[in-house]
Amino acid sequence: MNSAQDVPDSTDWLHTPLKEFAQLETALHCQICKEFYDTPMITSCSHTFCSRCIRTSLSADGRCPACRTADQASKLRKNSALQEVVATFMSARPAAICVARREVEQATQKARPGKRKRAVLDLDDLEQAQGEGRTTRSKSRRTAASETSTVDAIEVEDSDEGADETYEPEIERVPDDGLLECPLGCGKRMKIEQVEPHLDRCEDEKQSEKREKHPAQVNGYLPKVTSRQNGPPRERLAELNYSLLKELPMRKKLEEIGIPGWGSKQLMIKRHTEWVNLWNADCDSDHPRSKRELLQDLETRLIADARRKKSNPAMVSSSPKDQPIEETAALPPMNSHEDSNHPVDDDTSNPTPQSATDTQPAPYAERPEALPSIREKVEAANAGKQIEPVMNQGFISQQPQPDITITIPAAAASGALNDQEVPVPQGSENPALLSQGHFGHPKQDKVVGNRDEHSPSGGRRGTPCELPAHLHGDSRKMPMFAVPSRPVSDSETGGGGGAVQ
Amino acid sequence: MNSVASKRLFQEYKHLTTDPPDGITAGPVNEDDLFVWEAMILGPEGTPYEGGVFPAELKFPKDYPLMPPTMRFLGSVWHPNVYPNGVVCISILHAPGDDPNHYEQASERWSPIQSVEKILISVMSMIAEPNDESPANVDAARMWRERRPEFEKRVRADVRRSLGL
Repeated sequence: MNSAQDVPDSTDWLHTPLKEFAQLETALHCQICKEFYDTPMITSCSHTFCSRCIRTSLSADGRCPACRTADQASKLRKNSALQEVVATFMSARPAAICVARREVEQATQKARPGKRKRAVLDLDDLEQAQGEGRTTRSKSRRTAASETSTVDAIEVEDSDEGADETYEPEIERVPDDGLLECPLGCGKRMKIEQVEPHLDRCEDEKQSEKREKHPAQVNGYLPKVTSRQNGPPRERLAELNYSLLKELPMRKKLEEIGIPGWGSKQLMIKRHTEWVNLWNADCDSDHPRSKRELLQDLETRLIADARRKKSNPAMVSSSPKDQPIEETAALPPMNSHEDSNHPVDDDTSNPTPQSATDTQPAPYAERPEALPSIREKVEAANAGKQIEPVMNQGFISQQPQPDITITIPAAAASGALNDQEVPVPQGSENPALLSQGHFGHPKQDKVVGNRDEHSPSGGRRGTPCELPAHLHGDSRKMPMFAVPSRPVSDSETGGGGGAVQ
Repeated sequence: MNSVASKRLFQEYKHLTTDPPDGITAGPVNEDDLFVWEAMILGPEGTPYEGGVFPAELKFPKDYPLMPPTMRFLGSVWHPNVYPNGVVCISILHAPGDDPNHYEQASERWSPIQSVEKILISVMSMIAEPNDESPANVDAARMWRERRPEFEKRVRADVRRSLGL
């Protein structure tokens, strides 16, 4: 977990004896997301992309990204063969890369002119590699494919798992017990004189045996079998002609298919398009997720959009035409139990000093230490978590000091006036601050909630734990962003907070 | 964080660091924001730009890779296809839908299958071979067309100055 090497990439192969694998791996990547195909779909023009990728692309452009032939999402067909190839390659990859790297190591250690053959591979290598087990896309990011990784369980993978769900091991060798096998092939063995009477009953016996045996067998493979059989197969959603739909019928349509139907029409269009792509891609997939998961995914995406706009205003202004609808209202309120909504709401009212530092030019190449941080973010994004920029040293040093010195007295003063008044109409958190005595962080969580990526569940929200120790020690009375702002609870009514800013 | 865009940007970054094309380096300016990159392009050999190092900034839209990034040279670059403010005008950076200049083939424009690497390579070849059909810098284009020696001299002088010689 400590270098960019952990993210699988075709370039991993480049400095190994298996150079050609780089091209093989690139060929197994979707050209849009540049990752392994996930549920590959083939277009009418015979190009293949991930289901999600091509659906998103078609809904934006209506053309094949490779050859720009006009195409429709409804004409996509699944490319199962490719999917199998990708899955097989992905499961074989860790072992292969392990071997390839070991090869390089040994070659360099022994400084032998690189003529070692792959056959030298001993059993240890293989076992270790396979111990890493099945590799999902997200897992493979985390799993270091290096030899340092620990072997939890040595699990030898079946080469064609999935194809043989109902496979029952057959005993091929003939036991030497002087018995005869049933000529009808039921597998029973008996004495010669029993064969003839058995023949009459054989069929019946087979039937009844199956009945007994079957349930047990299904149970053995339960996890796989059930994935598709939960309920009727899902139907794909049709795209809507948005220009023909008025707002009200559209709202209804959205609610009909189970997604929130509020917000402006633009917002609904965006939400619907995302949802249709998400849903239909899921219909293509062999391992469909539950609707709940999909809804969460949708929410994450929309929030992410809104968040990006907030955190990077420079970006938006520079490309005015490709910023469709990213008001904060893009957040559907469906999982209200999740706190993640609120931080973003709060964003609107909280001018962040962050943007200034974002665009500060600093040659990335000179900061290799930043890599793990990026990778973590990508992982987190991968896992669907809400994340926000981590405050780094640069940020801290640039934090406008005057802000702090000015706000603390201000907060104290207004707090003193309001002292026992709870709730304060302006949504000021000052009484809460005061009651804390030292402006300590625990109570300020609502105020600075939007800055915190580490505790979506509302744990310790006050201080970003990335701060160096000396910055969140007691010596500093107040976290630097504790500028009183409207609290989360007021954000929905839209009132309150304005005065404090 | 937009997971689709940032995942893809990270993937591209990884690829560019481990296997960079000749004369090109690129990466995010700040680890907090994968959507702003800085790139360095070496002046192509055999052109007046040879020896120069041209830093540029790439900004990615949040719906990348559906939409192309914008690219701006950080120093001034005297070139028919670079606006005086440094913005690069090249067809691969134009979204498939819009064709403000009405001369570009759809096949040359941005598509999600393009990448940062391809953009930078295209820009590098654009530096070597200006396209004077769509001058972004009219003066530079005219000079390039009509007074080539003067154009080259000016470019060389710029390069030397940028290197502090």
